[in-house]
Amino acid sequence: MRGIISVMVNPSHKAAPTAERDTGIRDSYPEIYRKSLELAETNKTLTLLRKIDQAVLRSVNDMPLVMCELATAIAEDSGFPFAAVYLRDNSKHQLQPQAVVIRIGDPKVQEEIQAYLMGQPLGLRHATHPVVRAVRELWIVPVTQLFEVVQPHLPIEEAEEAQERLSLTSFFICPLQARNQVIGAMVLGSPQGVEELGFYQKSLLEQLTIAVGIATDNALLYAETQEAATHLRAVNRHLRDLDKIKDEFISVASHQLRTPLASIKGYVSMLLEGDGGPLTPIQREFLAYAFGSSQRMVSLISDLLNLSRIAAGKFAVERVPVNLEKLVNEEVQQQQPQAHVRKLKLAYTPPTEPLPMINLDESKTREVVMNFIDNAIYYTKSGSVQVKLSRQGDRAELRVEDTGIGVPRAARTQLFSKFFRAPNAQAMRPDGTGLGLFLAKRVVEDQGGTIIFESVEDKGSCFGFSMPLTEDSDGTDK
Amino acid sequence: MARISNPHESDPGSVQLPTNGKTLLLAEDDPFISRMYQTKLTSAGFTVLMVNNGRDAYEQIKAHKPDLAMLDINMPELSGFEVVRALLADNVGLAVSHIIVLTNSANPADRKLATELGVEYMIKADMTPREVLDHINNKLGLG
Repeated sequence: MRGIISVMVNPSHKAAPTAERDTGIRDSYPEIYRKSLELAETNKTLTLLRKIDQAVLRSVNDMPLVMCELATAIAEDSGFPFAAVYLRDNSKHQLQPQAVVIRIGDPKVQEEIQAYLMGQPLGLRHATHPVVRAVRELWIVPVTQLFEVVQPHLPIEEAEEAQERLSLTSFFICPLQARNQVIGAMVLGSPQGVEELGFYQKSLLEQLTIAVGIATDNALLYAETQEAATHLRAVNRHLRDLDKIKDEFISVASHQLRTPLASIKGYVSMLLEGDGGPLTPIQREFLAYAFGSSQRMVSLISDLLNLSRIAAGKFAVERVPVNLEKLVNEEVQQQQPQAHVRKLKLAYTPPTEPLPMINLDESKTREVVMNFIDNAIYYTKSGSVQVKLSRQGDRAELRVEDTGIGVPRAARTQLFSKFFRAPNAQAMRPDGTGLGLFLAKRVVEDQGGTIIFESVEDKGSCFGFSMPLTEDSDGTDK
Repeated sequence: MARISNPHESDPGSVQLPTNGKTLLLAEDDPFISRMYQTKLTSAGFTVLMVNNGRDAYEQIKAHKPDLAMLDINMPELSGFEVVRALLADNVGLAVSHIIVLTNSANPADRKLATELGVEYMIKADMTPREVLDHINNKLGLG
């Protein structure tokens, strides 16, 4: 771009002295005089460029205002009292007028020409129009007739009259570029002829073209960023709303499912305990099936709730002092009817000495223990399930050992992954979710414990955990 | 959801059971749940005061000073938590540790609030009536 524009600018041009009172200095110290003139012009340029930057900064959130301020700064301070800015609209294949400011000549004509130009977008196919040519050819196009700028609709006689009453002699149409793209054009009008322009004004043309290009681009980028930010904010708000609705839905759905389930499970358990009178063995067997299924549904709902909390990043263990020995015993007792129905021996070996209270999330730990025992019963065709709680140094260790199908070697690495199910387990129990062990690992590890897992395929498995008896050193929940 | 029948209309059992001298208040608006706990707890010797809304729960606790109260969280008139707050404000002589709030929803805020108030939080579907009974016996030192 610099190369193209410099065609217009001859750096060897000397600045023309203008002030007669400086004659003494000019004659005695011509070099100093020339330098001081150059400095004065450089200063003018810098002041103008600063004005342009400020115009952008001041009104950056209002694109039409930015354009208007740019054009005004140029028309008032650059020596080009006519300034018009066009931006390229690629979707319409047009140059859209953004601002026209005229600070010379008959105010009434200023107004008319301004209104006319603002109302005339220029089609990029109109290849002979000087503004379109500047954009297409990347060239500063000089013209001497206002008629050429305002074509095609303003009659030539009117244009000539207007030009005379505005005292304009030349127009320079500069392509505006930013990041190697033409973003529009600027028309600058001068009362001086093309040949009369001084070095200062020629170099100013070049600098203005660059500065306005960059300023406009910055303003456009800012406007795009703002638009994107507004869009993102709206999307974000929508996602937050959806997330809230999802949480509410899960909460409500779980409540609605659990309410009838609490009755089913409760009444069936009471029938099994004889609260409804003596049962025949077959009644007891069937009710035990019903109870086991209701129990499984309770834990399934818990698993789904926990899964959705993990997905939402809201899964947290809440630890309170818990009697683990009592908790394990209760879970073993709860599963006795299931073991009985499947003709398995379910035995509990408590620790030799009482364990201290341990800080645990009671309901989540209960789910883990239940899941281990439930799995052991379900995947054992015959034999026994041994639940052993013991103290190992400063840790409590739970082991649930079965004589069941075991875990195939190939399935072991993925066993604790979400939704994973070993093929032999899948074959035996097609309705499993593959969530139990995934959640168990998460719950145990979130409480500072480690999972115990040992297995021999076709012989049996041991699932359990080792949990520290003392709290974390900072004593806080994770 | 259509209720097939009101479980309280059936014969609660004509046998007079021996009491253990302890009184419980059960505030629960689901008749299936309340009948279930009532049966289990009465058969264990408890005198069970039954109410189905928060306002009655508050008034009955003030009037009868039960040994333990089980309050559903979502009840008509006053929620279980509102009953607890009203009781605390009135300085009714029922220890918060002898109050259990019952729910089936998965609302972490409720659990937190229960901890803050010092009352026990229980998900109904998690426990059988037998486990609830054992738990209450334990709380009241009845072994």
